[in-house]
Amino acid sequence: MINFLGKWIEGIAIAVIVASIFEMILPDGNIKKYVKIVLGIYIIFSIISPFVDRKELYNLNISKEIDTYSNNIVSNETNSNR
Amino acid sequence: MNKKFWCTLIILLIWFTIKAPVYASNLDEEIINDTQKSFGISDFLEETKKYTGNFFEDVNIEDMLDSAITGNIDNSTIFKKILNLFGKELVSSMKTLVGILVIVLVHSILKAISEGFENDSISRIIYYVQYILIITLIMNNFSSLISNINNTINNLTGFTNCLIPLLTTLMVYTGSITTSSLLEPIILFVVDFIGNIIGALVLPAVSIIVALIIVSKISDKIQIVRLADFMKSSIGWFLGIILTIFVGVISLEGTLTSSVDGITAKTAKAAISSLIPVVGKVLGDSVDSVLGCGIVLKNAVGVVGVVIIIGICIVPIIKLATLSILYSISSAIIEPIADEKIVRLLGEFSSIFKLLLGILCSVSVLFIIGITLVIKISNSGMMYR
Repeated sequence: MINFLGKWIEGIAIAVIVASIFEMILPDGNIKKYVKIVLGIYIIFSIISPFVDRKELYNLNISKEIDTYSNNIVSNETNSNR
Repeated sequence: MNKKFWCTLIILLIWFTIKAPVYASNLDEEIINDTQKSFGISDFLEETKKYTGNFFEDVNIEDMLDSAITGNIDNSTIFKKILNLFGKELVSSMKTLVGILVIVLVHSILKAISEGFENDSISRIIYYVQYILIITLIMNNFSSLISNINNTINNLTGFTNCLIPLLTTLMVYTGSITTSSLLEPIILFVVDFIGNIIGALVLPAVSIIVALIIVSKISDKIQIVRLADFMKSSIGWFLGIILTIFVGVISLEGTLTSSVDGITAKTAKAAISSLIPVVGKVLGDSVDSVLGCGIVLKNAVGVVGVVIIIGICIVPIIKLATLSILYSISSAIIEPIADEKIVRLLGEFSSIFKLLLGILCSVSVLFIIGITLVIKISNSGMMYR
């Protein structure tokens, strides 16, 4: 869980830093607006990337996830109690 | 006739002149000391020294327990220690802030110089250098602060896990059987749950918020502060909901079960004194006095537990409070000369420290209220007698 959160935040931070660098060095002109739109889409995508994995989204069944999670916990406890 | 007279005179003389020493003992103290030994309270106090860290190094916990039994609580030493800690933390946080102030001053001078040039990027580069230096200064002790808070919460949970079984045993001893059997699983569950959740979810969430804040101050146009604000408010809501549920459940169930306990004990005592022929009344009254001493001991143990909880939490709370106040003061001082992003950065760091302070305070208030409610509920069960 913590690894997942760490990777997610790393992705967001890198996206924002890269976008800031580009925003700084790009010369003013017509093209700047469009580059900013593309960079913004990149940032949005890195924020919602955990929820956009297509395989997971189609087969997402929340109650089944909770069942498997609690079964894991119960089997771990019975294994450690023996 | 003479013989009888002289015999009685001699006996009276012997009676009045030979005095044997007579010791009167305080019955209450004896009962309390015996109960203390049989419950192993000194072992419990030894084990709590593991968790209390170095706040209680020169305070003797056994003395505190004895003075709590007799009803006095000595607050002055603890207040003095708190003031000392406050001063120390103030001095050590000033160093970081003076460093930040110097960096901002140098930057504003350089910015004023470089505004004459035509090239815009020099001023931007100066800003980035300043920003990197300030972030390095602040982050130097941030990770140690978070691990300090994690340690404190672990100490708190460990200490409460020691205290609750002892309190439950004392409660059962003084007759609150239904109350303790109902409340102990709830309290232990909540204590462990809070300890695990804060270590696994809330503190990483705070680190994420800090990362988002830092990253969004690099450039004016690209900001992701709303995500950080959303996480901050959700942490606050979450803690508030848990606190409310915990206090509500304990008070409701406690009031129900304390009356059950009181009536049960009263019926039992009436049955004993009326059914056992010769010694019934004496037996009932002596059991009452022994249980009264048990209740005094239980209250004393609870008070010492609350004081130790406060002592465990007080060091990080004072550190966080001073940091938060200093950062918001410096953010206000810097405002005329510094770049607006730096002002906002310092202000948001101050609010993060307030968030951490809120987390610690609500956890410690949770435990203190839990212990106090438990003691009060079992006291009110005794009131029926």
